[in-house]
Amino acid sequence: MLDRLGYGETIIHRLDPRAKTLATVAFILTVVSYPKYSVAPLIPFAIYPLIFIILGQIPPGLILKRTAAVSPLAVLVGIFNPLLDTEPMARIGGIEITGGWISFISILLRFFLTVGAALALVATTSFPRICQGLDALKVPRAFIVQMLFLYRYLFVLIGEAVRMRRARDLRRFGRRMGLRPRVAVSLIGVLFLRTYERAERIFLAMCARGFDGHVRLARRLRFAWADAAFVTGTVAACLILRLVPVVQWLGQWGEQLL
Amino acid sequence: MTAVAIEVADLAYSYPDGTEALRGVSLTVAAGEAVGLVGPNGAGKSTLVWLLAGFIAPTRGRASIQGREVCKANLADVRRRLGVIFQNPDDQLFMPTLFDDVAFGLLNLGRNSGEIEQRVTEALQQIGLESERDRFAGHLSAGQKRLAALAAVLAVGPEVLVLDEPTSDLDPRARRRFIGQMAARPETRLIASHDLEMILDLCPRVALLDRGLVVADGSAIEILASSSLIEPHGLEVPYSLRRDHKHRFPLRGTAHETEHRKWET
Repeated sequence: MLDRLGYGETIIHRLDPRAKTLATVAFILTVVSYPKYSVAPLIPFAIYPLIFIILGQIPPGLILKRTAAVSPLAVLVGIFNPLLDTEPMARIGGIEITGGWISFISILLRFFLTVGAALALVATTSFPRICQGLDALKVPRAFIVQMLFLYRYLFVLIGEAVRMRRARDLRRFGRRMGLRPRVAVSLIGVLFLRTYERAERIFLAMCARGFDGHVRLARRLRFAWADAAFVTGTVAACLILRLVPVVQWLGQWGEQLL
Repeated sequence: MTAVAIEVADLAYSYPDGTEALRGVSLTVAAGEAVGLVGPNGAGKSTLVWLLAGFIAPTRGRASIQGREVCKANLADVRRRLGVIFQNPDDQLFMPTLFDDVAFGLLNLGRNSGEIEQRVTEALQQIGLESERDRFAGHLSAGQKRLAALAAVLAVGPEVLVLDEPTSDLDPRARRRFIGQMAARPETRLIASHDLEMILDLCPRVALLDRGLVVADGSAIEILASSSLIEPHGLEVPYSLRRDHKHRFPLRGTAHETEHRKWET
């Protein structure tokens, strides 16, 4: 689904993949550069993935679901912080908030922002276009070829696994079967063999049409003024948010108004 | 003198486990000719296709495509001239969109973007899939995939086509369409298949392969109509060539059977 969205025709889709990749890398680096207790200064950064989602016409639920699917990793990283760091750091409505809870929230926030931005990039740029952009950015070609093969063979692996599962289900005759270690090992072995053979045939088909290890894609990249403006704008916004205490100023201004 | 497109001389190949897939195959296909390669399972048809494409190297003998021996040194040149259609089109469609798939070979040949656009569009128009150009090739129907694999090969402009079981997963309409497309091709064609009716439609000549050897080579009608020749090699006379065959018609609520002779040798 995410992959298919990458072939859309919105203003975000039309941006050069290099521009989107550079801007997203700048965004991610800025977000992860904040100190561990930062929460409020990170909130304005949600604008970046939101711009991708709104202008790129991506279903927000899809990005949220995919991000949530990998969130246990972030939870695992930060879950022990409230137990280890018990120093009180803030008080909200009479409830004392410890440093551990704040750093945990900060980790989650950073995780959602960075993964959300990366997913938004993938949803508005097809994977081969990202690879093409990386190639133009002089990322080592061996790395890009590996990524493209990984991408293609992932579908091969999933396809083979689905077919094997169907074959197993057909002969289950309604009986619930737990995946016993012996069965699991043999299934994985067969899956590996089938995938390996198919991957080899795909590779041969590529060789038959002149593949020599170099990635070549049909659409040539064109870095237009709009792309330059997008990268410059994103990098400038990231720097301003990182170097200038915008959220703090906004808070003080709000207090004065009240 | 007719130019030779495919020449195979005393070609032998043994798999690493010792299985002799080919035991000295010799075959010559003239330029523009369409030859059917028939035989039972395990006869060596697919191995011959793989050897012609240079995917594996023979243990003995030689194969050449338009005078270029199929060997490591000539592989790029041979593959420019030879288009291979695999048994399973899913193996052949590896790019994210149909356009990218058809353009793949042209890009590797270093064609410019204008020419690529034009040739891909032409190839897709020929097979009637132009409207699907931006679809993920993996999501096409089996018939469309088969035609897409054909377009991906034809876009490069090969002079020789080698097809391995091209109609194995097609429904009757897609099969008929595929045969129609292939019949109109000017390229030299070597078609390995069990679909003998399709072979009859496309190939005036067949080579019967069994246990790694060519056991008969000649007129498709004569060889395929000879039950004494083909039945010992695991094949059956195609229905359309049987002297007496039955037609069933739903007539007045009952099955009607009639017999007639379609053609005489």
